[in-house]
Amino acid sequence: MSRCARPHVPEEEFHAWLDGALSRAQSAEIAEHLLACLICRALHAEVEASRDRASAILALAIPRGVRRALPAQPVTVRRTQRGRIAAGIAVLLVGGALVNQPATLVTPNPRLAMVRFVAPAMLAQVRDQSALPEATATPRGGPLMAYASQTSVSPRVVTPVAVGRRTVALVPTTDVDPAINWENITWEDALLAAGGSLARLEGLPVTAVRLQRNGPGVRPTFFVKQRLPDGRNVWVIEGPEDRVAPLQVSVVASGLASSLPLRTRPDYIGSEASPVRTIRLVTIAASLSKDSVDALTTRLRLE
Amino acid sequence: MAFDLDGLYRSTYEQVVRFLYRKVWDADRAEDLAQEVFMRALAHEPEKPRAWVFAVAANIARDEARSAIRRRKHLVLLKHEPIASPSMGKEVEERLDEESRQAEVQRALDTLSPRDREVLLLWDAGLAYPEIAEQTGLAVGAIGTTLARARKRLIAAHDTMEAQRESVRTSARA
Repeated sequence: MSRCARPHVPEEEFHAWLDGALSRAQSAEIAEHLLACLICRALHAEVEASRDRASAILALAIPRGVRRALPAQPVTVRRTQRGRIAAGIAVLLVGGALVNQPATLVTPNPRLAMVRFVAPAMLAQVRDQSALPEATATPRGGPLMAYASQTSVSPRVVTPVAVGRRTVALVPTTDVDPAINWENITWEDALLAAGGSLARLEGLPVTAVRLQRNGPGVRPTFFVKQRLPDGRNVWVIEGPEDRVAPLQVSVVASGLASSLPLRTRPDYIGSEASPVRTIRLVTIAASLSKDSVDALTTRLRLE
Repeated sequence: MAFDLDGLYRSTYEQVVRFLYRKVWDADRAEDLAQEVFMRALAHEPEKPRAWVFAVAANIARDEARSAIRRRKHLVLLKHEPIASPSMGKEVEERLDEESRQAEVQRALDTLSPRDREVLLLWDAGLAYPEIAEQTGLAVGAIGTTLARARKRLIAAHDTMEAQRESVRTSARA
């Protein structure tokens, strides 16, 4: 079960959110809530499925001539969360030149919808580029981090499934429940628990740290919440590879943007005689555009 | 800002036809009525053209429904004329199948309350929540609730009809 300090998001608000009818502040609040609430994530997926199904039913009722006249893909993109994700993908695809742009909220851009047509080929190209040499991702002044290969995180898509005639949206997308067994601790305690090395964004105040213990001999997973100068929140998620990868899927499913994961140099945990080699993944999540969160990775430092 | 009929026509014509079609359920009639909507727009040069055309389209469709009831009395005799020859081709079969699917959508939409149906069709035509609110007289905050209810009912009604169609097919095969 998930435990949420805040009340759950009402169903109608999800409809409004998916229809792009909420303000940026409201949208960000919902996205943040989704990050930690399994119940709301399930409801969100259910609403999304119901919305899509209703549209599919209505699409059956299009007069013949008009249907022929319609373009294969919509020319304009309604202001929806899906548009936001499409724009995010598009920004990722054209990303190289934009990576150093300042952090901005996503404004869905209808023109970017065209990129969806060429997405698979270009995405493959971007994936190849993700295996760039370490130097491209090395934060200045801090210990080295490298881009993890895309295969190590294998992003999965939350897809509602049809059971009989009903569409059921609650799909177990993660092996790790991001909403349970989390503790709020101070930065100092977190640093202690992390063995003196914990990732954070340089120059931004840390407003909260949450920790999930992963059992003896395994590094905990950390959520370091930091505040951007304009008051928005950004999370640095750090932990063992097998823990962070599913969390990243949850982040994307929640509608937040997640940066390309960075991989630390190996940690050796345990006694000196038999150390266990572990790799940490670090990713940044925020209600920002994909290029903005990727740009923020250059400010990551290991304490 | 100068009124741009050409831009309005190009950006909304298809949605208006679709919106009207789901009210009158006759493709030719829907296109005729859409033409009339744009003729009126040319005469009025409305300030909010997008919302205006859908408001006018809704009014025209309402008038059309009233006159259709009057016309139906005269058409009753024509209803039983044969619609296809015995050697009907695959295309005709497909067309009939499509028409029956459309009839299902029509019946599913008919199960909705007029207000819920209006909100759903306006949303599907591409109007934003404030535009839908203005046209229906609902509060913007109530649009999400209305849409949630309308979508659920549409799906439930359509699923029921699909299930009925399947059971008829199964029993026909048996």
